[in-house]
Amino acid sequence: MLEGLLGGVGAILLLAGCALATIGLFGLLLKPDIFEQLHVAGLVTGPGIVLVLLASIGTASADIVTSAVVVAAFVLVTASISTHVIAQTAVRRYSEAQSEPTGRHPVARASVPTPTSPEAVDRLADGGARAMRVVVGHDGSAGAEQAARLAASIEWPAGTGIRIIRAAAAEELPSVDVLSSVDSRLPISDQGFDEPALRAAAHHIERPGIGVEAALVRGDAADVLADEATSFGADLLITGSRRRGFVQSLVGWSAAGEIVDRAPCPVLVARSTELRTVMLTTDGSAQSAAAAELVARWPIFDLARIHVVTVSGEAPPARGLGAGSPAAAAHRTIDAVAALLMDAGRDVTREVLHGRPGSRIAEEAQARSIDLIVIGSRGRTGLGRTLLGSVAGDVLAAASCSVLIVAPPPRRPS
Amino acid sequence: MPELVVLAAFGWCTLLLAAAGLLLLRAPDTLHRILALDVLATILIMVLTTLSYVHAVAYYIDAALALALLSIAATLAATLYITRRRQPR
Repeated sequence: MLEGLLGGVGAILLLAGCALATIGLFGLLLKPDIFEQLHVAGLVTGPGIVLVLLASIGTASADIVTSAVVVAAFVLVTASISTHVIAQTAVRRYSEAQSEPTGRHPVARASVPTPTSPEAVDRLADGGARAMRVVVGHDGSAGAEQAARLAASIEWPAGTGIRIIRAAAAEELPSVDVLSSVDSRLPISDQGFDEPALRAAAHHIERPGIGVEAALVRGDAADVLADEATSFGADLLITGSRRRGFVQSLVGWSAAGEIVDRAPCPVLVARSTELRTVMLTTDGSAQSAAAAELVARWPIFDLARIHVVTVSGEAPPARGLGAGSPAAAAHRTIDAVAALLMDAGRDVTREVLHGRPGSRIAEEAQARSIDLIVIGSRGRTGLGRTLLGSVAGDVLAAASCSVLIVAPPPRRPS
Repeated sequence: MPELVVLAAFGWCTLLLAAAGLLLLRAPDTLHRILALDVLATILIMVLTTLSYVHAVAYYIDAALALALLSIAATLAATLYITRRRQPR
């Protein structure tokens, strides 16, 4: 009697599940739009499959029912996750594609009224031979305020052009329809996205001989800043730093780290408000040579005191230095870099440190109250960094002062 | 459960599998393909489940569980990949 009843219920559930799956697939084949497809796919991946699995009660087999319930519980969790992830990806991709029909520059821009017009900034930056082009990332956080204050305190050479870029994710913008783009013809305040902080930062940095413009650009911060730095031909990208959460630090992720990975130019992660004492770390690699070159050449380091360090893993032996020992090699490296800097008229001191590079550099910077650490990075990303680690990444995480990372530009997909 | 209903459901789910394959073939871009694969895997789980009802054995459903696990992993990996990838220009 009971078995017959369960069998009947099972049959009804099975047929209902099949019917829902059929309706869902019909809808999927009918609707080309991804969001409508996600809606109807929910019918298949949610109720459809769960009803079919629940029909197992009709089989009156404990094995089958147990397995089916486990699968049903699993599917209920994963279906919602996968739908959410696909929808999120779709919102990002299609909102970017829609805001710029040509697809070349996948972001929308809106200019903030600033002391100088964008054209003037371009013209100015072409002026002097020592002039620099700088992009300042500003996301409205305390870290970004720090970056803006640092940019304001630096004595930029005449003719320098500075772009302050506020990257805003699609979901941050107050527009009701996430897919409608920022209208670049309107001032930002008219789009319900007033940015007094951005304007204040621009006015703060502005002074005679320096062009400042500010813009709101929609998109992911790392993407937007990399794009802006590329199109502006920037020499330097300045960004704030954010405290990392527990999980983020476990997986080695940081917003600043992602910007460093993507940027086409050196990136300064701002944590101090001036650049009076600079610590240049060197390890004899091509990237640290490039970093030394920057410190020697860039006018913003004209008045800084430079402390050159290199980290040698081993402690110095008691009886002098053997010519072939790593410590001797470290001394040769550091002497070459110091000579290069002194030729450029820099005020240089030098030191060989011993210990684990990342934490040792950060400790030394703390002890000497250094404003800025300059470090070259091999620009390792993804698996390579996960396996081998990155000294620059360790320094960035451990240091409490600003860090300037000089990395080779990321490889572009051809 | 009536034998006829179970067999009919199994046959019908197999037809749905063909429809999901069609959906995958017609997908215009990567994101549509990811969704189509997700749906295809779900339908395949339905087929395996009904197959286990037909034969009255449990291990087909265990295979379905493994498939569900792979399906969610594939979806997450693929979406992460197209999110992280730099826009070619």
